[in-house]
Amino acid sequence: MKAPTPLNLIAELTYRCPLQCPFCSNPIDFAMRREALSADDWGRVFDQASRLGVVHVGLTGGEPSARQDLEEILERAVAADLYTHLVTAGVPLDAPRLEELALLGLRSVQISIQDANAEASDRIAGTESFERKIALCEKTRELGLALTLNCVLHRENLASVPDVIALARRLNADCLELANTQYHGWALRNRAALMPSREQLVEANGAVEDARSQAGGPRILFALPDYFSDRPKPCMSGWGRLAIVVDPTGLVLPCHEAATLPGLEFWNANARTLEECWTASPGMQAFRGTEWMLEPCRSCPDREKDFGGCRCQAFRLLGDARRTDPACALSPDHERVIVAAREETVEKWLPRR
Amino acid sequence: MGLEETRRLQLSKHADLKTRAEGDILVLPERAMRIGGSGGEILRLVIEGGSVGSILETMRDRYPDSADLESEVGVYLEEMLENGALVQLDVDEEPRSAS
Repeated sequence: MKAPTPLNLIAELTYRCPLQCPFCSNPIDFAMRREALSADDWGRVFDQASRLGVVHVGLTGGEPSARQDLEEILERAVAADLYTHLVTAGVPLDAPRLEELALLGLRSVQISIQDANAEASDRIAGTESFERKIALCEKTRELGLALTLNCVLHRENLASVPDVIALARRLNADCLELANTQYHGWALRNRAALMPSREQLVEANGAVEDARSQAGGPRILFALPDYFSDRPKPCMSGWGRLAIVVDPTGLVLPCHEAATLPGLEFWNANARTLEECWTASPGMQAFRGTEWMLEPCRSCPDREKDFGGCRCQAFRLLGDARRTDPACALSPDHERVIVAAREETVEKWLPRR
Repeated sequence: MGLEETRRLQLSKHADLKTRAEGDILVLPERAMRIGGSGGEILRLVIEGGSVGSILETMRDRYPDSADLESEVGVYLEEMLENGALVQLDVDEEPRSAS
């Protein structure tokens, strides 16, 4: 099908990150993937993205501030007339560097914490980082930038949701993203150690509803995780539909995990124009629209809403990216694959390495 | 409608409204989205200043035959407040000048 006009560019500047979160969704073999785009290369990608219709760029990773040339990359994004949004773990970024980025035109910052206090957050992150993150949140507000506080949720920290909400209020965050773990990459490897109980989720949802009913405070994003929902999420708002991901190696992708799907050919932004990669690469075309769908997706009235869910999840759990995401209760694999996984339990996770 | 007509709104300093050949696009910190229908028109009236009441009046003049216009505009403004695109000004607050 004809490629739609994209709006968002997700620029994965590096896979490097000082944190070792067990729910990291980076590819397991990220250390083998070479960082291939210079600041100039990124500048060219931003210019091409802007001409393609993109208006917003998320500068992300890994940890984008691990790149020494982040300032130069940001400048190129601003010059391409893109709205710039930095997604950071808060280290090694520090306040003077954030101030410099703000002066260069950065508009908004998402900072992740791993729990509501230093001891728990640092334990999950595997790195002493919480206090630096909080200082950076305060600096973000001082600089007048939009602040999103992000906390990935799982069995170990779901009970902290009321405290995370209180922290977001204290920090005067514009938005709090309570993101239930998505089981890709390292997170899938650690699924049995991270999987929450339904009771935990109900309790957390109650805390969110309570906070939403109070005046003021941040907007709170919270949705039930795939493993406890009846319908899949519209992954990336549809494959190759609104968002372009460019990974650290330069591959142009519909999502950051798609490069690990076997048999799909994606093109590289260092070898072709972004427009060619977006509109014509075989991988990008593979799951656009609804023509590729098998039953039960093909005749489902929701096929234009959820786009069949996540192709990577279908592949990881079923071995076939064309199958209906088993997160959907209409999938014949739902009970066997998803419902059964809710009961898995192991005590220890494996830190991202 | 939950919004008082005397209330004044403005586009958040963290949001942009872009006009493209295919239509208007709202850009927010975490994402960008296409705006359907008369959404862009309403947001431009917010940017021009004036109260909720004056925005409604302008829209009534433009679309005199639209039966549910007041409720639709009200719902839309509340949705934009909810997603952080718009902010409410205090009674005595001056709108931020466009940069």
